[in-house]
Amino acid sequence: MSQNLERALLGLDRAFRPQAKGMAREIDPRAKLLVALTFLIAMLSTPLMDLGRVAAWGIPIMVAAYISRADYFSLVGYSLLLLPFVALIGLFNILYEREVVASLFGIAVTKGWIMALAITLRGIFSVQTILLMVFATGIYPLCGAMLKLRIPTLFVAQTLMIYRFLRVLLIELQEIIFATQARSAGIKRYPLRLWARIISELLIRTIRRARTLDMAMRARGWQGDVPLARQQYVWRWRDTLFLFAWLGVVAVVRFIRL
Amino acid sequence: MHHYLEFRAIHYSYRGGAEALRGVDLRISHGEHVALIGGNGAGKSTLLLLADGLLMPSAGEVIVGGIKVEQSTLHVIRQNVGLVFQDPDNQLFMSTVEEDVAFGPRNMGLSEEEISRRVIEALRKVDAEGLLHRDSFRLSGGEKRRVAIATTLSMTPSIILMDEPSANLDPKSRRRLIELLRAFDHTLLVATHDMDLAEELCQRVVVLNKGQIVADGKKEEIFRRKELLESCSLEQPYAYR
Repeated sequence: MSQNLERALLGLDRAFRPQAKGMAREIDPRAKLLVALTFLIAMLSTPLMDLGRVAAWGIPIMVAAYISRADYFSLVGYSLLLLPFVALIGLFNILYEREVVASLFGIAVTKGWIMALAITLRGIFSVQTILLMVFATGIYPLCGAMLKLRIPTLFVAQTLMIYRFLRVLLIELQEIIFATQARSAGIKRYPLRLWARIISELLIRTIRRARTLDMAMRARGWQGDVPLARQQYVWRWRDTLFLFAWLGVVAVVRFIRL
Repeated sequence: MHHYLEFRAIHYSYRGGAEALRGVDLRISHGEHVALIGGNGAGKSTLLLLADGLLMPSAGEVIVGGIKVEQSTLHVIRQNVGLVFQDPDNQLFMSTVEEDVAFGPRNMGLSEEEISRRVIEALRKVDAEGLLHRDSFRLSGGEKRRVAIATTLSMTPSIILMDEPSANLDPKSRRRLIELLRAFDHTLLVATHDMDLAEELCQRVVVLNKGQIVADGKKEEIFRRKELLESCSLEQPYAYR
């Protein structure tokens, strides 16, 4: 458990630092953000019953991961963390959409199953897109680009706060787990009641910690806005090229039947 | 701004709790290094939080360089007063040392070039340039403490407040910290239990007990008063025993 948390913390830090090299890093963050938003809108608007097209969105993500020199399998790993939540949403479709639309090796495939699979894929691809965008850009340039594109400050500030809160949550959880393990006398599986206590302790600690962090941030001049440098963004030809090339890819996957 | 700090008839009560400060009057002049000593719950940390406007007094006023600490002046106050928290883990909340040290200058709205310059300069002052790209939460206790100080130095404050700076440090890190703080020409207010640190670092000592100042004077005068120190759950520095 503690090793998994350690990995998650490292992953979070890696994911939120601009690690992409070469062209992927040099492109204007606004171009990357516009591409990612268009990609998400186009992907999420793909009809659920068009499963082949939904699955095809995975290809540009793989290509983008390759160009950014991101570890694609880590991306897949992190996106799979959300699988239970996404699958839960899809589950309702399986229950309510029972119309048989195909047969696979003699097994009837209902509309609900296809929709559930499409929802799951869309969820996973959405997470991968967001992670990749952060990986290639870094949290601060990304938030700077959001502000330049006139995305409300409140939303941008929340994005930064979520990032910090996730770290605090993981660090606190790690400490609680260490303290629990130190007194567990070798027991590896904890009863449900203990988990309930751990979670309630985690909530109390994170509230306390959040309060202190808020003080530490205010002590350094934070006033609830987004602490970004007055960065000069220069839009170059390569950014235009990048934008249109990717918009072309998005249009092909979304509208052209291959 | 003249770098003095003044507390006038300060009272502070925590919600639902006892009165933490009861009529504190204190003036710290430009360039002074002052130790604020007292047992647990004496009100030391509360006084520091008030000086930075993180808490507002129930009664009385705090003046920093002629400016009263109130909601409308907080922006100016916090650029001039740097607060180093007791637990560096509470001070370091970004993923890398670089981001952490840059947090304050970013809030000041400086350019990216100026931020980078300040980050390097602040880390150089605390001898931590080599930690620039390290993960904040993977540093040793001493490294965390030095980086925590750098996070305030990058805002170039004129007054520095430190809460238990030597807590949880090994002897070598503690020695390094003392040498570092001695070299500061800032106005310095250090809340501590560490009598030896106070003795080495400060010329003036203020003793706080149950929310009140019970003694204020030159360190030689205060540290000779064994009974006074013991009545405040403190003890004399090693050099005075």
